[in-house]
Amino acid sequence: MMPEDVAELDKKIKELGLVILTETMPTTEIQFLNSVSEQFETRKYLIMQSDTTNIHFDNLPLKKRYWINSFRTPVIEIDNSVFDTKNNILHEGRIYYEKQILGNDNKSHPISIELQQKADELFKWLRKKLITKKIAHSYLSPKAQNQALELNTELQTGSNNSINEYLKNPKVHVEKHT
Amino acid sequence: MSKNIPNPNGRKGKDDHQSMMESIFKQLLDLFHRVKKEGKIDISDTKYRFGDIVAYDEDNRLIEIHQVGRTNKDGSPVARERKAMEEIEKSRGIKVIFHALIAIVILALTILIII
Repeated sequence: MMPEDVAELDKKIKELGLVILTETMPTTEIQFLNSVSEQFETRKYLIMQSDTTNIHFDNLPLKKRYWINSFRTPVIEIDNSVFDTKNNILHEGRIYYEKQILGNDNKSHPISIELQQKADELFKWLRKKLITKKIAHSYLSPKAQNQALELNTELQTGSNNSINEYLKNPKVHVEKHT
Repeated sequence: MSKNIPNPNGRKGKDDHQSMMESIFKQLLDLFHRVKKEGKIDISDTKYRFGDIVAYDEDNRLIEIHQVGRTNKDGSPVARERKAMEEIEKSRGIKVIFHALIAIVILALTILIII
């Protein structure tokens, strides 16, 4: 996604009744964000309003911050696509959630049906409306694709592989992941 | 008649796996810029794998890969895990740090015996 795609994502998040928090915070006092573009390079969590009273915080002593423990708090994680303007590189982002979290008994428990439904709806919307182009094993928005083709922006996946050649040759066979 | 049970601990194995992942994740998050569960790792132009926990520096460079898994009786990773680790190490030049899941069970049993 390009930064301008993010505004549409914010609107959808609000429609789904989800709130936005950063992965880590200076204190355990919750501070909501208005957009996933705030503190851009920081991972965001989307949480249901009703779950904000059940956030599990853990201390990060070296960073002197508190982490919203995503193994124990029902969240949808968002890593923004980071556009490195200096080097003209667009880094891949990610939206991710787990269907089970650990409880106080240290056993896995499913997240609420409601959050699962919201997550599924968000994923479907993203694939249908926003990141509609599949290139190699990544998904792009049309804006990101145009940027890459017109301005020669390099598109990098999560492990720093460039996928630009696939734009020129979209019929490359992709092996299933294992 | 013996039966090969692929997941002998059932749900408990999953819980232990998650607990260990949580511990590793928290330690790495306190050290590195960005840490991901099930981080995608490109093996080649057409193939990728997932690392249980991966860590990146401020330039989004992949720098550490951690894998939690079962071991053989001698403590070495099972074949499936070993193959995946070798493939990642060969393609990315990053050593995969393996965390033996069975170690938790052995440690717990050892503590019980001593008590």
